[in-house]
Amino acid sequence: MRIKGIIFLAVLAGIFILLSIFLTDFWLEKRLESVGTSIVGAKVEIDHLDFSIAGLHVKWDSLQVTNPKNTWENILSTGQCEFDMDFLPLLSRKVIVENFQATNLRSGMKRTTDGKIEKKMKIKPKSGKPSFITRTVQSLENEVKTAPAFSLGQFSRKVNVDSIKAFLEIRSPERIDSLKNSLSLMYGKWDEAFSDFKPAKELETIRQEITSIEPASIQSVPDLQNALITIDQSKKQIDSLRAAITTTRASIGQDFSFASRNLLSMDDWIKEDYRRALDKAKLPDINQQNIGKFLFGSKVVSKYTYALNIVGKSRSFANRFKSDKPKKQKPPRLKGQDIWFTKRNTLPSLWIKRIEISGKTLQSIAFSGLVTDVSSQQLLVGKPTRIDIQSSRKGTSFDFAGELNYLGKEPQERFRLALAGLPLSDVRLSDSPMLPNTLKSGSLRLESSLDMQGDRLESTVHVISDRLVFDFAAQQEKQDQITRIVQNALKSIDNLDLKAIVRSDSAGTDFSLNSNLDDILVKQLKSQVSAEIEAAKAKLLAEVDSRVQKHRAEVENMVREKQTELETTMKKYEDQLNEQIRYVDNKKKEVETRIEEEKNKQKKKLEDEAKKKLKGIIG
Amino acid sequence: MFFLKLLSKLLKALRSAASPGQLAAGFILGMTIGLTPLRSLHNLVVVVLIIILNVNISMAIFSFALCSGFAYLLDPLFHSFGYWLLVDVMALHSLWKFMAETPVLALGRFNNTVVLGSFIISLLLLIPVYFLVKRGVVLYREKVDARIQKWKIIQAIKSSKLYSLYQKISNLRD
Repeated sequence: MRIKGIIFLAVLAGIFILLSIFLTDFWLEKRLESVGTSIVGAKVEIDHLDFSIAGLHVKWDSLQVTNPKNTWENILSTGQCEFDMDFLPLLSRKVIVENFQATNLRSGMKRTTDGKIEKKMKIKPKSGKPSFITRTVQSLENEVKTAPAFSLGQFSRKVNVDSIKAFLEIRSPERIDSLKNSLSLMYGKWDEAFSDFKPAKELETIRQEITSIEPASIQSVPDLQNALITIDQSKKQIDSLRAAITTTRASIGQDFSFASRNLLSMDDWIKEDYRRALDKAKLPDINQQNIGKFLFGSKVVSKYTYALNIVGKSRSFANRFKSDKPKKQKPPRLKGQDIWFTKRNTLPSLWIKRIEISGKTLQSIAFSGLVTDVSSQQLLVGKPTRIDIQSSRKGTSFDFAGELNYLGKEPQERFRLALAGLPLSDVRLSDSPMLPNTLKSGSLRLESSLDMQGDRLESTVHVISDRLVFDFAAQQEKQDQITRIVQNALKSIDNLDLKAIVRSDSAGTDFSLNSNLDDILVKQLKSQVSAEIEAAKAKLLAEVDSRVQKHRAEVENMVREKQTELETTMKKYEDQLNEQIRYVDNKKKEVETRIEEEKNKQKKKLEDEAKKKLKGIIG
Repeated sequence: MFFLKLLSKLLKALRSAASPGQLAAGFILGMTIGLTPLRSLHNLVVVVLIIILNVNISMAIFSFALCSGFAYLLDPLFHSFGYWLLVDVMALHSLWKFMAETPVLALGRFNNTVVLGSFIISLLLLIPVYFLVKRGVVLYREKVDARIQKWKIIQAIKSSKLYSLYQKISNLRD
């Protein structure tokens, strides 16, 4: 044993205790800020953290969590918060908090400094199949992205078709010419084939051979039988010619269908040119779904994304502590992978039994509520996490209830939010540039629900705003056609009824969004702007046609001419062949008849001779 | 530079008055800290042991530096071994559960694949390495040291002014 060593250790321990007394608050504050920042991806700041080792009491004056998507805004901020931790479970790496009190909770507050973090954290792209929540968020974001991007400029500017003409990308003529070349090669192949194929000459030779046979002048049966053999041989020759003509006819038929199919695909090419021309002109397609998603889609989807990301984080946190056989990961060097073991009737790694919260909404409506049983392993606690926040003030009410339940086989989350009588003043209903007007006054009622179970999601959001008074003063100077249309639409309503429905499961996501403003805007836009847009469309399509139709007519004429030519040639050959067949058949019949006659004649002659000889013997 | 410092520490430790047993004990304790993740509870205990037990601290530092390098290279092996012990060996599950629930022991992070894998491997190496190092020190002192002292480079270093200055400072410090 080293006595000096023991003294050294004692001194070291003393220094450590002294430093702890003075610096624990600083260390803990920095540590919590660093962990929070790495989780959120933007600055998390805690002010005046005070840790008292006596009762393991933690207190801070304020907490600011920056919104990573807008680093000049706090996603969450609190006033004074305090809680006590149980000592004994800490020795088993378990944080158990009986009562957490958070006051002055706010969301969406502006920051005085930028909350962006300087050093970008490396985010490894996740491999494998994305989770149900990631897929749903992506689908919703795509729905909004793929909704046509309307802009005031699109509607208000005069479409200058002449200037667009120069930039049109018309590809059909080139494709049609290429088709013409390949068809021309194909027909050229037939010209070559027919120059070598001369059935008429062969048929003529056969005809001469057959004509030279005159059954009436042939007197003996063997000669007639020889003639019959010659006719049969000619027939075989004709049959082989017939087979060749039939095969040629079939091949020509196939080429005809190939040409027809290709001619039909010209329609698709021309349609593509139409689409490209309209894209170039950026002519908007005015319909209710498009307008609805464009006006309110981004705002609604951003709320869904926010809620689903929280659910996703909660699910992944719940999964981390599952003690069933975890998959082997590839952690960074010297970091390793934590495997969680839980015994029944023990405490979870984290359990905040009760969180009392109070705060204000952006509209300064005070609320208070309770969150119970936030735990890392709900199965050990035997209770789901429940959230219940309420507020009630003269004519205004706010009620939020939620449950995160990971006790069963499938994770379940349920949220209900009801708002009534929320005053609307100096707010914009939509982020869309088509609806730049702010509200002077109004009142909002909202009912929404979000239910998730495993890989299924069902949600509705119903917003009813009434007694709406818009502020048009800011747009008095800018009185173009579209501004007037939008203002007229807004003046004609004093309420806004918006309904969003989201359904998602493993098969896909359905998202619909409608409001009464969409109908009014669509009708007004269509009646006032459509005529001009339609005229521009017609002009563009005519331009495409004028450049394409000449090429199309050329190829169609060529095909028609070539097909007629081939048909005529084939018909001629088939007629000649049929006539020859008939001629040969007739000649064959004549010879056969002659053979019969000769046979009968010789039979009669033999009979007569036999009778004479018999008469001599008998007589 | 770091390597030379390390080598000089090793040679100094080997030529010091410390017994082969003290050197070997210093080596295995340093090895435990080096092979396992530094910020682990058991390493605090090992550091305390190094300070209060009469083991050679220079050897412990040398061993820690040497084994930290090995630990980095062997990390995938530690991870796989720890994963096998924690997940695949069902018979040990009740032990891990007990450790995870036992106060203080739970702070040791033995549910981490690398901590457990490297800790068990260093435990397995303790005794054989102790005897190997002890034997090595004896052999070095008997046969190798005299020869090394005759090396021209060692002579040159020893005769340099810088070395004399270093020796003086070292003597003052001792």
